[in-house]
Order: sequence, then structure tokens, then C-alpha cells
Amino acid sequence: MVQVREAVWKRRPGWWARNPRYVLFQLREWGGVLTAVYGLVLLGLLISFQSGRSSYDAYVAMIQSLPVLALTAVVLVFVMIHAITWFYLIGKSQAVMSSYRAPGWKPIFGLMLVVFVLASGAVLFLVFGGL
Amino acid sequence: MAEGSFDPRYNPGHEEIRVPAAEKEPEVAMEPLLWGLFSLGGFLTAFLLPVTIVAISFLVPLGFWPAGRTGYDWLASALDPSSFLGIVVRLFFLLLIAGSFFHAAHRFTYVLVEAGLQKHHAAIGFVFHALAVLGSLAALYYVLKGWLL
Repeated sequence: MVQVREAVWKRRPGWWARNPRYVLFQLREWGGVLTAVYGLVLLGLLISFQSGRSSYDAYVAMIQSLPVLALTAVVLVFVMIHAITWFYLIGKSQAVMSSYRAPGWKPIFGLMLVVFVLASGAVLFLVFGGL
Repeated sequence: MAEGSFDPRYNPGHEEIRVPAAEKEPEVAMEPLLWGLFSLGGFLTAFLLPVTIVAISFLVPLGFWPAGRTGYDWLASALDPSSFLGIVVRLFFLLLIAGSFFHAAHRFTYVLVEAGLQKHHAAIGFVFHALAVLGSLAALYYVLKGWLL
């Protein structure tokens, strides 16, 4: 009788540090994780708003204080890496996902950047009342 | 059936295949849903989160906007449920918060699995996605409060 053993899937610690592509992959993964940190900040904003003016003012003063801003800057860098590398991947994945001849990653990456700028402008005007 | 005759019930390639519910693998049902939420969350956070972070956290402290731009009156006006734009802004916050939670739940699960916790893959995924559901329900409650609640 043949014995079936489950293959043990193991990677050495720091496997991703040996190749710049893997480093970028890890940065994107962590960027994705850190989006939830600002999701919590936004949830806190809604909760403090519903609790009243003084609660909201204290909360906004806290998230705009220097130590929290320093941490938020780190989150922003990771979130931007996550966004930009994802736009890049969309262009790259077309060649894999499409049976037709893909137009190459550069036009799609450029299109994603244009949409990103337009979406950011729309948020600034619709949610925050303009520049 | 005699050779040459045609039976309209014979329809190869379109036969109905019934799989008993007990034989279905549960992860096959959940996986597309979780991947869909992950992908949708990634889409929303990539396009909408950076500008939101800059506007709420940075523009006032850096002096580009006056203090009132992110104050209580701004959010009260932005979330005004009597205007169509107020409803849109409420949905904007809900989608951004829930999207970030589901996207991060999926990413963090795989970060930990790749870090060597593959034996606990199912448990880790369950915990993070349960937290994403709870966080999204909290966001839904606070978005509906003052509008439909």
C-alpha cells in the first residue's frame, strides 16, 4: 500500500529579501494590511462625530497631533506603494488574463494613474468641498 | 433508439449535473466571495484612500487648509442626510471603511500564512474576516445613525 504524506511547505525566513521584486511584493502586502489602520481612523471619526462636537474636536486634534501624524505618514507611504504597484500589476496581468494581444502594461498603468488623479479630485470636491 | 432517429431529450454537453450538498467543499463556496471582497476593497482603497488620508490628516496641520476645513461643521454638512450628496458621502465612508477591512483581512491572513502559520490558515482567515464583518457592521450603524436610524 502506498503511503501518502502531505508535502511540507516551508520558506526560509527572509526569503523575500533576496529579490527586489519580492521586497516590493511584501511592501504591497503590508500596504494592504495598513489600509485597515486608516479604516479604523475613519470609523473613529464617525463614532466621535455621532458623540457630539466636543468629542469630535478632541478626536481630530488627536489624529492631527505630531506623533500620530508621523505614524500616519508611514501608513500613507505604504498605502501609496500598495496603490501604485497595484496599478502596475493591472497592466501586467492583462497579458495573462486575456486571450487577445494585450496592449502592454504602460498604457494601462498610465490610464490607472489618470483615473487615480480624477478620483482624487472628485473626492476633494464632493467630500471636502474643493481645494 | 433506432439508428438515424432523433431523440429531442438527448442533449450532450447540456446535461444537468447534480452534486449532493454534502459532497460540496465549503471553501469552494466561500473563496470567490472572499476574493471578491478583497479585490473590491483593494480597488476602493487604491483609488480613494490616499486623498482621504491627505485631506483629513495632513492639509490642516501643514497649513494648506484653515482649521475649520476638517472640523465638526464640515462633517455635519458633508453627511447631511437631507441632501443627495450627504447620502453619497455616507456611502463613501461606509465603502471605504468596509473595503479597507476586508482587503486587509485577506492580506494579513496570507502575510501570516507565508510567515509560517499555514497550519492555522483556516482559523486565522476566520478571525480576521469575522473582525472585518464586525467593523463593517459598526461602520454601517454609524453611517445610518441620523439618517435611517
